[in-house]
This record gives sequence, structure tokens and C-alpha cells, in this order.
Amino acid sequence: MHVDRLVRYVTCVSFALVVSFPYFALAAPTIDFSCGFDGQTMRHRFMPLRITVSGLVHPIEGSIVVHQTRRSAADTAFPIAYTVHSGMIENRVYRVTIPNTEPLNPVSVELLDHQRDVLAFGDVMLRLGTCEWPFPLFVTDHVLVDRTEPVVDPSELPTDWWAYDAVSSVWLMTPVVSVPVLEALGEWVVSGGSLILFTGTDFPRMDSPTFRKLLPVTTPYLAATADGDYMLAGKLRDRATSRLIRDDMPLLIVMPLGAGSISLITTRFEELTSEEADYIMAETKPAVRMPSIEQVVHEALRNTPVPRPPFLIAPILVGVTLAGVVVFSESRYHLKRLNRLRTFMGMFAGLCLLVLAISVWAGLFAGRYDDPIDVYQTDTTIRVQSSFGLEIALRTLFAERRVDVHVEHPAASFPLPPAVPSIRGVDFSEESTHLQSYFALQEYERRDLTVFDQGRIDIAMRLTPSGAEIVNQTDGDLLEGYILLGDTTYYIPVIRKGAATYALTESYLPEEKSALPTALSNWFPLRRGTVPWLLLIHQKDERIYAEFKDDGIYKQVRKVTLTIIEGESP
Amino acid sequence: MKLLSLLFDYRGDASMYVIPIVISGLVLTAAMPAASRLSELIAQPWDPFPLPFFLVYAIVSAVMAVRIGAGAAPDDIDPNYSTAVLRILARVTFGHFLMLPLITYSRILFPDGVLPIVGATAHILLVCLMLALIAMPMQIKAERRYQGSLVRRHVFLFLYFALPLLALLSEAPIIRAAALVSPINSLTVLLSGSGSMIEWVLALTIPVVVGVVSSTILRSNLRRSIHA
Repeated sequence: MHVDRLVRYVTCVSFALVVSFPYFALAAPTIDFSCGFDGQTMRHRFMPLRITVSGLVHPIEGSIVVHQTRRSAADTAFPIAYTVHSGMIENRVYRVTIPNTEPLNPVSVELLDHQRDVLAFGDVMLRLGTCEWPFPLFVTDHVLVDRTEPVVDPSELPTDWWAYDAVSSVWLMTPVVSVPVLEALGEWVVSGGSLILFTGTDFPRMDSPTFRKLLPVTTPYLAATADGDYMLAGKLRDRATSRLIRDDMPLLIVMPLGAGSISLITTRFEELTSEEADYIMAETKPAVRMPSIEQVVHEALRNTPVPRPPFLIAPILVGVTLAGVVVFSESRYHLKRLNRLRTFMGMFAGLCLLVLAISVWAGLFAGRYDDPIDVYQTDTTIRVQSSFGLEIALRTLFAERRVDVHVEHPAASFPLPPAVPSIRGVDFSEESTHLQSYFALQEYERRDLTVFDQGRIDIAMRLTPSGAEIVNQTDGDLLEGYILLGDTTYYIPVIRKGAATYALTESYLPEEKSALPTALSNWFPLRRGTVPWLLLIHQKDERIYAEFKDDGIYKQVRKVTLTIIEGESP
Repeated sequence: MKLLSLLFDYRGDASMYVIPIVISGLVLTAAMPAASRLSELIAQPWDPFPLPFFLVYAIVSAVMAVRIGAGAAPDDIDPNYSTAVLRILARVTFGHFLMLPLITYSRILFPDGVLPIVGATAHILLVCLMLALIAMPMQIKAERRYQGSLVRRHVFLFLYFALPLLALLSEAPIIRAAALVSPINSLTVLLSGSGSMIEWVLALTIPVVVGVVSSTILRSNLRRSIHA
């Protein structure tokens, strides 16, 4: 009897253990991640990262940190850490975009709890997937076995436009319906990307307001051909041109958008003939990346004013003191002769008061520059508003002495370090959270960082026969606007808040304001075609006290903002 | 009108006050940064360096102090020794008081605090008082021999500033501490901000001790020579 009971107990306990085993197995969190597109990346360009967290029994408070290392010429490894997410973490896919700073070393991802203990770890070597040149990206659910270019599913597409930094062209061969992805692709095109859209009978599945913004045609509809196939048709937009015809209908329509272009193929990929496919391949332009404006930015940095005490203060102090001494010294003879003791004592007291007064002034007010500038910084921001908006910020920092600095950046938009950090730089270490980056600058070291972001400018411009109609929905009036139309430049002194029509006065872009647009002329077609562009160029110098780790530094910051708004032709 | 005789000699010469202000003012002006743009700053880096201003201030003030000491010596008009000492105290202190605007403005060269300025100024004041008190008996002694004390005073000044610096050649800390007798080394230590408490005490005590001892010895020698 007792034996039976014992057997029953043992059986129950064994059963409970077996049943609970998956629960304990689940309690071990794991991290799985992939870099780039289909594993392909490019050195010193941004790359998308998909981090899959699984095995968490319940959401935890913690962070996900991506680690890379960078080697110097002296073969020293410097850690670079990106905290890509902090807060509550659960079992799901986390998407971020980070720079690929050093593909020769592995990229590792850590899942940390709130005490910064490592719960899960994973690493991957990027070396084999790193390309030397930008590569085309095919978005399709077909398997293209004879190609080496990356092929991804629409669900793998990132929603940050700078994630396509290493891509030369994106081929949408299958419907993409995600609005954030389409927005990101539109922004990437404005920045210089090359997007190829396949439509045909897939069009109804992908049609959306955002998708229509990408289309080179207005009022699109499906039209049947003589062969019984369906092709997308519609009214071509102003700048769109038909490059290939099939059955008297446009097969390939190309439209420039911002610095890039969109190619619309009015049929599905599978319905193309090999000749047509070859022609489209040949006609497709690769993406144009913003050229280096290092020279312009560094010129702005070199011209940054240095706060300093005026030279005249010390001579003024000397002059006033000497004047007091001479007056006192010379007047004593007359006063002695006149035996005017009180006047003499009064003059002595006056001299003492004068010296004390200018001493206080010299110590407290004239010497207010007693906090020297630690870091000189130039923030050059280029904001573009076309059908889609984007923002590119170049931050150049220069330190007079070794100093720890932090640079703020938009959420989850990590700064891209330069390929060659600096001549003096010996420490490439960097620690970034989703809002700030921390690093050390050596004495007389300069470091350039590039930050990309989405952008939206609340200004719209349209040329009318009577002038320029501008709707300014920003916080206030804007000064000094320039409208570029071909080779002609028009000047608007003040763009008032709200809607107004401005008469166009022919002018020219002043030399001090033309440096940045000229440097960008090979990238952005400001002087080409019949598209009007509204330019706003502003510069501001300010002194900023930035606190960092219980310490503070003084920054002298020169902010240069170039706003480019695409207008509508009459 | 006693105040007048305390601050000025019978000729009314104000150059003993004017010269340190002008020369130190020039050095302070030269110590200011020249760069107005970052490119100029990179080409000519500016490191706030207060030592030249205080060294020039100390040397010029010391030269003026020995002149004040000699000028304040008791003579036929006012033979009282105590009044002569009072004259020295008044003139040296007044001279430093007139330097106050430049000293407070030199704070611009000290981003990290004002204590080094206070220490250096106090040290220079004490050194000048000491030198003036020593220069006076030297002048009296020379006058009794119908000689001038100009060369003797300035040789002493040079030796006081330069000779203790030879102690820096030694490795031994005690011998090296003797270099604090020289205002050049003392000011370097005080302004560097790295001076220890002992170095601060020595830098401020040595001028007092040397001044009191030297002037006492010189005065007693003087008395002996008069009685002899």
C-alpha cells in the first residue's frame, strides 16, 4: 500500500518536472540579430539592425546595447557602444539603424537588465558581407538565385531613410504597403536615392496616399493593353518623362525628386521581357550621396569668433590710475600753499575711492571672460522639403584642451563618425544613447559627426504670375529668403507668418551665403530645370554652457542652417 | 600735510608709483589673447599664463622699493628713524594699492580661482617692504661715507632674486626649499596652484623674517659705526 503511494508520489513529481521544464527553458532569454540587407553592409555607412529578443517570461526593465570596436594605427581597440533601446523590454523585434564603423571586428549585442547584468549576448562578423561599393536592393518574395545582390522581404525594410545609406537603388518588385517604409523610401529618394517601382496589376494592393506621392503620374488607373495585360496609366507629372513605350503606353517613366529619381515601371516585374528588363537596368541611375561639404564646414569653424577680453581694458586701467595719481600729485603744491588740508584729504580719499571702484569693475565686470571656451562647434544643418522632408546635420567639434563632450542628436539617429576621425585623434571611443553621444576630444582635436533625421518644414511656396505665394506656418517671420528659378535669383527680405504673395525682385545670392548652396550644387539640382526653390540661410553664434557628468564645459557654437523648399511652378 | 610727506619725498616725485603701473600694465595687455577667430587661435594658441605679469610686477616693484627705502632714509630735515620706517610702509603700501586695478583684472588669467593672486600679491608686498627696509640702512651707511648706495642696492637686489635659484640645481628637497627665498621661484610656486601648505607658509614668512633680521642687523651695525 505504502509502495503504491510512493510510486504515485514519484510519478506526480516526475510529471511536474517534465511539464515545467519548458517553462524553465523559456526563462533563458536569447538574442538573435541581423545586420544590413540580407547580411550586406558597407563600411562607414549606416546599416539597419534587426534584433529579436525572445525567451523573456515577462517584460523586464533593461537595455539593449550594440558594441563595435575600432582599431587605430597603433593597433589599439577602442570600444564604441550604442544603447539602442532602454526601458521595458519584451519578446519582439527591435529595429534600429547604426553606423558600421569597423567591419573587420565583430558586432555584438547585449541584453542587460536594470543592474546592467548581461542576460543575453550575441555577435556576428560583418567581414564577409561588407561591400566596397553601394549595392542594389531587391524587394521581392521571389528567389533570385542567379544574383548576388541582397534580396529582402518587404517586412524587412527599415523605416529610417538613412538605413539605405549603402544602397545604390531599391527595386520594389512586390507590393509594399507600410506607410513608414514608403515615407522612408521617399525621404531617401529626396536625399539622392534611386527607387524603381513595379506596379501593373499589383497597383491596387499598394495604392495609398503616400504611395501616390511617389508616383510620377497623377490620377493613376489600370489600362488594358491589346495583349490583355494591364498597365498603370495616368497623367505624367511636370518633370516626369516616359523613357520606354509598350503598346503605345509608357512602360518606364522617370521623375526626378529632390536629389534622386523615381522610375515607374507600369507593369509587374514578371511581365517584362528580357530586353525590357535589360533596358530598364541600363536606364536606372544609381543613388547620389550628398557630397562632402567638409571644406565649407571647416571654413565656418575657422571663422568662429573667439570670445576674448578687449585689449583696451588694461590700458584704460593704467590711464585712469595714472590720471588720478598725477592730478593728486600736482594739486598738492597748490593746496599746500593755500594750506587747504580738508581739500587735500578729500582728494586723497577720492583717489583711493577711484582706485577701489575701478578695481571692483576690473575684477567683477571687465573680467567676465574668465571662463575660457573648451569646445568650438559648428552645426551645419541642411533641411530639405520636397514631397518628403529630411534633415542632414554636420557637427564639427574642436577642443582647445582634452575634454569629455556630449553631442545631442535626434532620437535613435546615431551620429556617423568620419572615415578618418582626425589627425590628432587617438581615442575613437564613443558611447551613444538614443539621444546623446559621449566621447573624449584630445587637445586640438577636431571631430566631424553626421546626423540624419526625418524633417518637416511648415513652409510651402508656389510661383504665380503675380509673384511667389508663400505659406509660412512656422512660429514667426523669416528673414532673407531667396528663390532660385534656373539661373535667376529673387530676393524676399521678410517672409511673414501666414500666407502672403510677394512680388519677385531679381537679385543675386550674396557671396557669404552662396558657399553652402554652391558646395551642394552637384548633389541638389537647385539651378537645373524649371523647379523653383526657396532658400533660407541663417547663421547664429552662441555661447553654451553644457553640463556633463557633474562637470561643465563652455562651447562656442556657430549654427548654420540651410533650408531648401521645393516650390510649385506656375 | 604730514600725509603728503609720508607719500611723497620733498621733490614730490611720483615716478615710484607711475613706473610699476605703466610697465606692468603693458605686460598685462600683452598677456591678453590676440586671436579673434578660431583659425588665428590655432595658429597662435593662447594659454592663460599669469607668471610674466606677476614677475614683471615683482621686479619693477622691487626696484622701486629699494629706491623708496633709500629715499625715505632719515636726513637732516627729518632725522627720526621711526618716521622713516613709517614713510617706507606708507609709500610701499600706497604703491601696491595703486596696482590694485591691474591685479584684480589679472584674475582673467586665473580661470580656477583667486587664491593664487592673493598669495602672489601678498608675497610681492612683503618682499617690497623687506627690500625697502634693508635699502634704508644701506643708504644711511653710504651717506655717512659720502658715497652713493645705488650700485650696492641693486647688486643686493639682483643677488636676492637670482642667487637662491641655484638651490634648484640640488636634488635634496630641503636645499631646494631654499630657492623659495627668491621671489621668482616663490611666485612660480604660488601661481602654479600646486604649492603645498609648507611652501605657501615659507613663501610668505621668508620676506618677513629676512626683512626684520636684516634691517635689525644693519641698524645695529649702523649704531655701532655711529658710536665708534
